[in-house]
Amino acid sequence: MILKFLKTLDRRIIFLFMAIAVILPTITGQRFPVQPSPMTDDFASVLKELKSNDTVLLSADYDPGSQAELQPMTLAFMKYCFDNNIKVVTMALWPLGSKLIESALNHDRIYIPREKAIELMSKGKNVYVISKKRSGAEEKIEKRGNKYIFIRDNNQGEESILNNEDKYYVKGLYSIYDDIKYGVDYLDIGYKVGGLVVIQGIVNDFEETVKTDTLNNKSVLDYPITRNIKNLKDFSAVFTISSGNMGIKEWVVYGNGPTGVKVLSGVTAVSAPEFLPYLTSKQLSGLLAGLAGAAEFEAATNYYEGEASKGMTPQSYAHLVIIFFILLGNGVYITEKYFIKE
Amino acid sequence: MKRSIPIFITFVSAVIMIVFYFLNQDIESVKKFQAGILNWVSIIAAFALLLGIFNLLFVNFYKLRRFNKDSIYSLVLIVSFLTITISGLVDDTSATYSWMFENMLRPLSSTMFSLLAFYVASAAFRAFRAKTKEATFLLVAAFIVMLGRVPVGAMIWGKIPLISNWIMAYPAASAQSAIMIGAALGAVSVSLKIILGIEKTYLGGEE
Repeated sequence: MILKFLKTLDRRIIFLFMAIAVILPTITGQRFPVQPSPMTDDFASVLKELKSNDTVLLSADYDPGSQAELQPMTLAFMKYCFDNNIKVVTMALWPLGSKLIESALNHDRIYIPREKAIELMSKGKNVYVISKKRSGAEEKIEKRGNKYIFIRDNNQGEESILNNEDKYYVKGLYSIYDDIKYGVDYLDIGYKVGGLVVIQGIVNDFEETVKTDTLNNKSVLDYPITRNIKNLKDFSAVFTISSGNMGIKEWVVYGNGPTGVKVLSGVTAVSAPEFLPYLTSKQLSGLLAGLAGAAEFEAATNYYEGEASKGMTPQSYAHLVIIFFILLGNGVYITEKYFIKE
Repeated sequence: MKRSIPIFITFVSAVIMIVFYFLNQDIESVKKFQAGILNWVSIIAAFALLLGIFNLLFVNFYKLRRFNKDSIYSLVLIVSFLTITISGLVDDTSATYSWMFENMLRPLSSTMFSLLAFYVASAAFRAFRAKTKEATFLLVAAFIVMLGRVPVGAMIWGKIPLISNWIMAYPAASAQSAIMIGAALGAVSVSLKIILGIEKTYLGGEE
């Protein structure tokens, strides 16, 4: 009876277990410690070799479908570069990649400690809070005199205190920096149609291939950050955040192949094994694999309250649920094969 | 004629690209010629994108005209497509366009991707069986890698991440290398067949 039930187990029961495994730790906020793996350590050490004022090319070769795994890499990588005065030129071989870079800079939540929130408010920046003791919804904090006013949905707001337990954040990486200047520390050249042809073009002649930036539609020669970039060799490294074709493979073959430029990459977990040979042959200088890779990178660079690190607890439980059901399925199979006589 | 011309264009383009790949890239004329070819490829790729858009719209308008219970999906696609396209064309930095991207496209795409977790769990329960020695090895390796890639693995036993990293770095990477070399040799052979006009299926239609 039980065997028959398990054999024909309704998939909705499995879905329910999976949903509970993901939702519960997300609600409770339980956190498991994340330790960087050797693969992520190698990635971080390549980044640490970069010097102040070096220029890197960040290619966002993914779309919102894989953002859960890849967007935290974009955030952590750009934050590391800005913190260490490494200049970043961004582009995309996927149409929506460029928009995701914009989201990282202007829209995504960047969690900050309470002290940083106070510092940013004093500089007139918009800081938001999610307070469990209050509504648990997003509220904007405004400093009026010595009081902190929590404002929700354009209301007048209420006076409140800044608790250590509450979550403070700003929207977009730009909000936590005063000294990051477009065209000097960072430049967006946007989505480029053509895939590997674009890479080959940049290998030969950066300015001829790219021509203008996206924000002002001005020649890249007008910006200090790209004025001396003639071709791909002039970048200290390329970081491709890739979830398929065009992406990591094309940057390795057509970027690293002819120029030897260091290619780093972040990929979804499911595709990571495909690119391991590039790593062992040193054609790829570093690889972040999936949400785990992103979380490990956050840990390696001391990224505060990263989305990837938060996601590792639900992912841990989800893996346990999958393992449990595989064991259950095999238990049923073995019992039926060896212990039940026809 | 309908087939000879595309085969001739394919042959000439391929030979040019191969020859120029091996020429000194610093020679100005080589650089200029290659830049021209690359521009052509970009233009063709842009037209391919346009063709894809028209095809998508044509297919869905056709489905909508036939009107059945699934027509609503075509209607949603057409309306969403036009809304996003028009607002993007008017001003892709506008608040409306950004709002649609941040609050509709991003969550919807993520939701589609996250459904994988549910289907993987269900499929693994039904199909992942230790029926043979090889399947059992695969199963054990999968358990170790799945646990090794999440923090809970180290909490169960400290050596799980180490074994997981070893599996990824040696058996998985070498097997993948073998697959890649095999696929690359296959690609070379198919490419040669296409260049020499032996393989014509990419042209579509009947022989």
